[in-house]
Amino acid sequence: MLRARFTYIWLILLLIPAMGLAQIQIGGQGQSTLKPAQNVEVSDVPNDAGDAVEISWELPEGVSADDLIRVRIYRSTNQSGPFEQVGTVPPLTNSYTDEADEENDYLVSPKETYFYKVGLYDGSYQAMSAASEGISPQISFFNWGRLNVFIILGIYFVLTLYFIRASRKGREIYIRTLPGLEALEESVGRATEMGKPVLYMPGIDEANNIQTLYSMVILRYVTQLVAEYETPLIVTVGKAFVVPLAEETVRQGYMDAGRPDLYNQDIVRYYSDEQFAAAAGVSGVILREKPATNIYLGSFYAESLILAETGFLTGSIQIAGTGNIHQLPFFVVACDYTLIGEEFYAASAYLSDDPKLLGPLKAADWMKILAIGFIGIGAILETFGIHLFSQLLQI
Amino acid sequence: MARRSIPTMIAFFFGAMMVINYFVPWGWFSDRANQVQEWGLIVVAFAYILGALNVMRVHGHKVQRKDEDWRFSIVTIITMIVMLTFGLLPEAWGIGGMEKGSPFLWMFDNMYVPMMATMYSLLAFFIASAAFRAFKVRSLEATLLAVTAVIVMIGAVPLGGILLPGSMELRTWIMETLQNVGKRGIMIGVALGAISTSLKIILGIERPYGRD
Repeated sequence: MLRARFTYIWLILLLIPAMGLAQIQIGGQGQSTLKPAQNVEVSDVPNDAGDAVEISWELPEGVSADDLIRVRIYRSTNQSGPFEQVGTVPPLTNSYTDEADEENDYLVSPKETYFYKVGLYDGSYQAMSAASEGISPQISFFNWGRLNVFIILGIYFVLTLYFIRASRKGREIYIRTLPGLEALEESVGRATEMGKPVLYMPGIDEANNIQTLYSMVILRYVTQLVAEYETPLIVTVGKAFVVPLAEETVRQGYMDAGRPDLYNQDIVRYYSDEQFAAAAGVSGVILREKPATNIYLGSFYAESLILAETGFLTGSIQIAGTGNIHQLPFFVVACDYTLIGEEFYAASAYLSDDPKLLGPLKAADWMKILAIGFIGIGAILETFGIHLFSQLLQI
Repeated sequence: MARRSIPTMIAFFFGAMMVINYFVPWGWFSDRANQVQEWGLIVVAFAYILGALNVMRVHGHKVQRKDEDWRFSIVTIITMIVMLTFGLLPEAWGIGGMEKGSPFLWMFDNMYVPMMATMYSLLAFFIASAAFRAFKVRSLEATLLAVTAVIVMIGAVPLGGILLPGSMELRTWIMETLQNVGKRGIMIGVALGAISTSLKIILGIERPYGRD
């Protein structure tokens, strides 16, 4: 009797874990209480090339993000499937943008219609939603999100053309004195008197940087100056791509001055594309050849102070100018003259007095007034909690 | 005439293409614009050959003329040839390539990188000497600059709050209000200058390329 009871208890003890296992197995086959995501909606991402779709969903009643491990997104070109997983998001997120990125290169195309399903996964079971409505991404031919930039650029363009025209018709355009540019001729004259060269460095950035490109305009002017005085010129370059550009500019400068005989191929010296290797090379030139004038005009980074301080040690007159505002304090401290930001871009107009070049300067002044107005209006409206204006200017 | 107009037309076409690309997300157009940028990369790759030739020419002439410190030019030429040779040799030869264990990478890691780090480290000394000159109290403006700099420096270190109570808050205010105002003013000017210059180059008003 006792033996029969023990057998009965053993059977019960063995059945308990077996029942548990059976429960998990049933859940895995789709009989969990986890409900699928609701209101799975798809929409086209605006202002794109028709290569993105936005999917959003809601968690079902009684399910919170804490109950889930992750949410999986599936896509198909057929409502009945088969569906392919295209992305995964954390449970707290309730939207996903299906677009190409570093991990997902399955691009959607405007030529196809897509259906999406959302799978809620709790670690052991996945509840799959019904398929969404079909969507074909739309191609946008204009990015309406950038309309504000377009309008402002348009205003700038019209103002530029207007002032070029006005300047050509003889309207007087005043430019304040820029000591850095005034000092250019004086510094070249000093180099001539001392019988030492003038060093010019157009920054260390690529030729596609507008500062490097613009520096070539000033280099041409400096070359004309040194050609007139027959002063030696050294142009140090920190990017291989700038070498042919600088060589052509210098050659043209000597030709403009009527002294092509003074041009030689060793004027433009390339050092390295590496920032500090170039800085070391140029510092070496400054220390060895001791130029009377160092002109640094272009895009500079951390090497700015190395160059300017080395030039200071050798007693050169130094003129610098850059649009990289983080380097401006270094140049201001170590150089005799510094063209601050926009002054650098005013150089060609200032030096040539050409009406075509003076017009854009005036247009830029009007744009600054416009910017000041925008800042003032924005500050007042934001103070009163009106965000419409700042939203209009957001990109 | 053609010497002037053809480069201007090319500059206008490609410049305008890049501006339009910013506003037009249409895939066909952006593909063309990206393709043009890839052409740029190819041109840049060829520019390295010109760069290497420039180094050889300039330093070769220096050695030929026995200019001051011409021996350094020999070192430059030799190191360039050595690095180029090891970098260009096929990896299969055992001494070529740029992978781990290759002589090229060994030289890069153990010679080139420390030299770059040394140059960068020099900045600390240059900053000290430049700051010494900048903070000399010579005028009212220089005094204001020096006082502000002292507050900012004290407020930037943990001990600053104890040495000068309120310096940390004052530093934050100086950096976020006074400094930002000036910085943004310059930034607006720089941005307008850059747009204006781009416009002048695209329209052929300013021509840093080609001949007149």
